[in-house]
Amino acid sequence: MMFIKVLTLVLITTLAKAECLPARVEKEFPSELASAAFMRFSPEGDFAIAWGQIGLNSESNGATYLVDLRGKKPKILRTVLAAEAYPVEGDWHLIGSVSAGGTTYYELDELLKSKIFTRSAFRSNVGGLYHVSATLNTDKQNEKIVRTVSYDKLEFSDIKVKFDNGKVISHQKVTTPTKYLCANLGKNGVGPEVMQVMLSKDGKELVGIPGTFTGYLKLFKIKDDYTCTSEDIPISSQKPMFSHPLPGKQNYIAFHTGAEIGAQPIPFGQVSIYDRDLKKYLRASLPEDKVVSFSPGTLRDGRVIFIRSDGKDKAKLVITDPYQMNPGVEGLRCLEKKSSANSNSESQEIKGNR
Amino acid sequence: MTIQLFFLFLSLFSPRVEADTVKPQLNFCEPQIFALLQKNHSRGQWRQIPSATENVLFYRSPSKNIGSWIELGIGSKSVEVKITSATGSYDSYTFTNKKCQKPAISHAKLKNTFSVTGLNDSELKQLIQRPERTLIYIWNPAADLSLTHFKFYQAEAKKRNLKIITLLAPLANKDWAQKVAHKYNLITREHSSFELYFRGADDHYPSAFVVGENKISPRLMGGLESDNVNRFFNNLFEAKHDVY
Repeated sequence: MMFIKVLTLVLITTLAKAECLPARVEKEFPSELASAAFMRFSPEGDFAIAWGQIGLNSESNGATYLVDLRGKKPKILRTVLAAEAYPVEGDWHLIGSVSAGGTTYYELDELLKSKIFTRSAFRSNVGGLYHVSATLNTDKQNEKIVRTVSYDKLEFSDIKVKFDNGKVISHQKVTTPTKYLCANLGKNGVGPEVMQVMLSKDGKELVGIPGTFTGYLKLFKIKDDYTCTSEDIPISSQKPMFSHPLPGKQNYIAFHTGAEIGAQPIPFGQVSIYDRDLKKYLRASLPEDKVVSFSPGTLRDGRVIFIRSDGKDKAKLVITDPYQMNPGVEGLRCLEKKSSANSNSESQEIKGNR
Repeated sequence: MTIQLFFLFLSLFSPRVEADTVKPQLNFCEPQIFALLQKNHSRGQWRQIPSATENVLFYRSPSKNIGSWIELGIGSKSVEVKITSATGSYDSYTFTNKKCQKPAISHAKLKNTFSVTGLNDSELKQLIQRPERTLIYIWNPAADLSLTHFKFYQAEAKKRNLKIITLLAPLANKDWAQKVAHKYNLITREHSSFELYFRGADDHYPSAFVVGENKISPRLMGGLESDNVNRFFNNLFEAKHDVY
């Protein structure tokens, strides 16, 4: 009897597999914003931020819109944010809006309340056109460092931000020995020259596209003293995106490129990831997907999110598991429902009041 | 040994293979594939491109013919060599271990959404062959910086005596483009060039190339500002240009 029980237990343990996330999910997306060159997706896929032009009566070049994807039908909310406003990588609690000489940060909750009068939370004085921000954990609950980096010379600022019940209650610039990241790899005391920059979700790695085409991305690992090591990643793409932390693996890099000849009409693209452990590209979109979003997003559960067109006037938001999309590749079989972001990020996630 | 000879041949006939390109690994038909590449004037500047097709590795290289690019699709049992032409079609040669001498050959149209009135590779060739140099600037109203910061490219081009041609991105919202173009001295004629597309013109907007004197520069991308436009242009002119 005991033997049968043990055998049953062994069989159950052996056969039981963690449940995989769906390999591919599609949802509606407003076609008016589908081909926005600038688009970002929230970690849960419940919001997108995009620069677009809805209705052509306004005299402005366009506006930044928040797309609320929580319900059955997406809702579009116009915001006060400047062109190419971007979320702070990590938990999307803050959105940065670049203006003369710096970046003004708004809380997502405030943006959702009002499009005309939106209280800003704080400001960074890092200038330049292309920015990225991410949050670094500290050893205190409800406190994070918001790291902002600008293109070209990698000028940066670290700002320590305290939260109470999800609201910013104080902020203080961290005094750093240098105002440029990776100055040990640049010239004349500034950081290396890269055009497009993207930080990892934990703020400790940065990837940049060289201004003059080389076929490679530059990946920088940022040390505690703000110096860096670098490596080349063999991707020539639009703005790449780091994944959220994955248990037992390095984060991957997701990106949008053109497809192989014959796969789809030029210049529609495809979405892939670069798995840094396998050192391989894995597809995240299907050959027939006419991908229009310039940068894919990555969800907290590890999946990739992007927009595809039907080739005419309709758009779909697509969420895929790149590991299930490439079943023949060794390594991770699928992203599991239980394998969300690692404990460091989760335990210090700032709770908002959405 | 055979593979080593292949790469030796490749390096001999493509003396300007860049240090940052990759080397495709072939398991069969190397001499025949190499001969095909040579016949079609491959530059040997291979870069791997991500694959939408399972279990196939893709590499792409420009050739010495404007609008003609070469793509290798390397699978475990076959290698497909695709050679595009500026007219918007491509020839495909599929080699298998048993069919090195007689690959399967087919011809297909290069599917695209390019406008028939856009600047195509025939016109690009004329610009490349001109003795004066031209800045080709590609913009998209959905990329606001490609509008607002064109003035810096414009000023720098003027300092360097470059002619300027502005072209609209192929998938841009045309109505939107029409509305904003005039304000920023941009025109709404589209780019319809396979050569520019394969060189990464549509990876990001703005993107720019300098052509002329039988050369084409690498792609320059991104919004620039008054304090860095000169430096980025210097870098561009110092980088290796492909000569035709």
